[in-house]
Amino acid sequence: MAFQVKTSILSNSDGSAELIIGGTKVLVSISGPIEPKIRQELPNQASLDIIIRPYKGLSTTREKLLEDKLRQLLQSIIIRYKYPRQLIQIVVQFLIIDEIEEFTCNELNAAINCCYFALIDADLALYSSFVSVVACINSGNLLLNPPGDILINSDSHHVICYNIENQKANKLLFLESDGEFTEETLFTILAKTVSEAETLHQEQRKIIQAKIENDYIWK
Amino acid sequence: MSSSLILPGDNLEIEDISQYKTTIGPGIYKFPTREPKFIPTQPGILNHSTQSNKQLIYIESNSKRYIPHKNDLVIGIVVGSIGEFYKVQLQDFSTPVLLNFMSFANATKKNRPNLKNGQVVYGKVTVDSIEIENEIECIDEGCGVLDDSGYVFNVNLNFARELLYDANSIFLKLLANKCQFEIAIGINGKIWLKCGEGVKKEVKESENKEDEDDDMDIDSTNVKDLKYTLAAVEYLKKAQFVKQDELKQVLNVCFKNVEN
Amino acid sequence: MSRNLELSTNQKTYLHEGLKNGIRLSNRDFLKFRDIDIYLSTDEFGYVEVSIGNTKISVRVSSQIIKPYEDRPFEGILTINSEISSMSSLKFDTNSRSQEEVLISRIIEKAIRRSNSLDLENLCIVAGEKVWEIIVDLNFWNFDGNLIDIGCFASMLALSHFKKPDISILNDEIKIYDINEREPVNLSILHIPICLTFSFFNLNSKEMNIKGDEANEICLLDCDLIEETYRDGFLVITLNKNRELIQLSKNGGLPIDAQQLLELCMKGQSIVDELTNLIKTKIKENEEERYKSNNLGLLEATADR
Repeated sequence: MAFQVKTSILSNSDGSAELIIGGTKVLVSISGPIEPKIRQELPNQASLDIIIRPYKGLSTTREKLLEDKLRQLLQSIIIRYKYPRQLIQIVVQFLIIDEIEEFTCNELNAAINCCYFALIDADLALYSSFVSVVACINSGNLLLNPPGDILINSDSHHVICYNIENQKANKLLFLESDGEFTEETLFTILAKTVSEAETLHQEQRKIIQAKIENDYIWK
Repeated sequence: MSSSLILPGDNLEIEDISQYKTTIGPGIYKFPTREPKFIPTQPGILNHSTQSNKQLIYIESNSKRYIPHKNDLVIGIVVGSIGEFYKVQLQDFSTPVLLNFMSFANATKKNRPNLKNGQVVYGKVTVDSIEIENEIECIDEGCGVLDDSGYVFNVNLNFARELLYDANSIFLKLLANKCQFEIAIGINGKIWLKCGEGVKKEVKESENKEDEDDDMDIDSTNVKDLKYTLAAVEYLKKAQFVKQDELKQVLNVCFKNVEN
Repeated sequence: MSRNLELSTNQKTYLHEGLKNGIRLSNRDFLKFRDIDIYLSTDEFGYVEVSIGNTKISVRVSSQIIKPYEDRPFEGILTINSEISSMSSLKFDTNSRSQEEVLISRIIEKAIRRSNSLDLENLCIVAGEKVWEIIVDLNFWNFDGNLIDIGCFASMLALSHFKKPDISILNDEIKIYDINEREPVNLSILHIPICLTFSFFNLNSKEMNIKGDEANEICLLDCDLIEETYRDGFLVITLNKNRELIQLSKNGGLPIDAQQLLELCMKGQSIVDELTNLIKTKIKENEEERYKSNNLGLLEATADR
């Protein structure tokens, strides 16, 4: 199983999820729509407050950058027009990581996938489902979801997020690449990760099916 | 009527709206401009029913955060006042809704309820626009102030809907076997519950020692009702997480301590 | 503008009436902790997850080598980070620290760092130049009352669980061994402080609380959210198994009888003993699990080859 997910684990949050993927464990808590501070209010959309906390130490600019990337993604996937002048607060806490500090791809990947489950748990309106995959090129070989030690020796690594419509990967929502690679390599990676994303989506469906059944266990 | 799991992004099988009179419910979003017009936005069980030339489509899902809708019966806590309105909070950290000072049955300028912060009201949502402040009123029968002899607690929204709208719901019927109770259910996930007389705030003890015997009796029924209420609350909170066949067992466990 | 949790007077009434009759809303004894669940990592050292009832926390201990403070060249450094994020409750604002948060941080710091629970001299590598810095990060996941007790307990558990990499010094060079090369080393923990938070409730009118024969404040241990919101005062006592009083914190709030202070220390001692034993038992269990799963039995001199 690629993901191990637990949802609804925090009683104070509207939606929460804990995700383990490879050697990375992350916890996301989402609350909203709630009353915003005056300076956060947007007149016709919901505003997003994203806080990322590292697995050790205090937040630095590294976390700010990750927040920005996650915001780019979530701003276009949450139907913010449904909640004008409200706030959606998302807190991401990394618990266990398996890459060195210079790399952020495994963490970002885990955070994106965990946010999906937390958004589902919080029952917020989304335009579509989404799935994220990490790919790295290691001496010419394409490797998906690599562990930290392989990442260090890779030529390039990429975080790719697709939106899923009708169970098929449809649009590219987010792409971050680091390292040396050719245009041809990039297109190969994009082609190969599409099927991986669709496989992961089937797993997402199974997990959500189990969650919904649990929500209505009393019926 | 078909029902199946649906996720955001899935294809929505909906009949042509030019031929069917369509009603969409929670979880279905209508794009103002582009095609396809309707998409599912929340995960849950899709319910789609068509009858002659009408169709109804919505998604049944669970959540914790309540979003006000017109004609919903809700329980709120008064947290302040602004102008001619009370500010009522329907859920922790949500934007408060407004309750007009006069929106009570038979209220006049001289004769209207004077509510303090922390008091609980049962009302109906009247204005639910997402762009402006929402409002509730307490004019209908059964609405108004809920006194502080009952206990207020939170449950998940889907469970609250089940308790309020399903007349054959097994949960309250089972509870009735154990104790007499009064209940008010808010669709915002808040429930006000009182067994027997609930809790009476003790009147300042007077110097009069003659009444001591009477006080003892009142005290013991007071405690009994308090215990029963707390046990009933525990039962309802736990009932959300167990299957129906384990329900009786949960009920017995909750009331075990009280019945001694 | 900080967010506030709004509770109804109904809950307050039930809380008070219940306490008058000896009943807690959660049906616990007045001086009993909620159920404690502990998870200790088996893959790495220094990561723990603890939950007391619905209050949940995770603590990570990590280490690095740095230059010591100039005025303390023989001591290592212990840093405790206990920022409370909005994840635990929306009433905590991640950007501005409320008085409550500052108090929680200070009490945990006093209990662990300033009481010398960790032997800092043991962390010295080259005096005046290189020492170990031990960093304790507390992440509060869910707030249901009593962050101080769980923060202190989980931190001590994590410090007991943590092992720092083994090192060797050759001339001026320090070689740090990977945990797979050489067995890492436990920290030197001198004593295990445990915080106990007692909350007070005045159920009579204000006038009756003037000290006399009628002193009847109610005292509860380990309050949950509702109890904590309506308490009239609180006292944090930090004790260890050696019957030593580490720190005491009573910041205003309801005045209590001085005699009660001593009594609570006495009553708290047995609870502290229990919790200290719990930490020791869990660490031992974790060691045994690790031993089995890593087949460390094969490394023993007496093992069959």
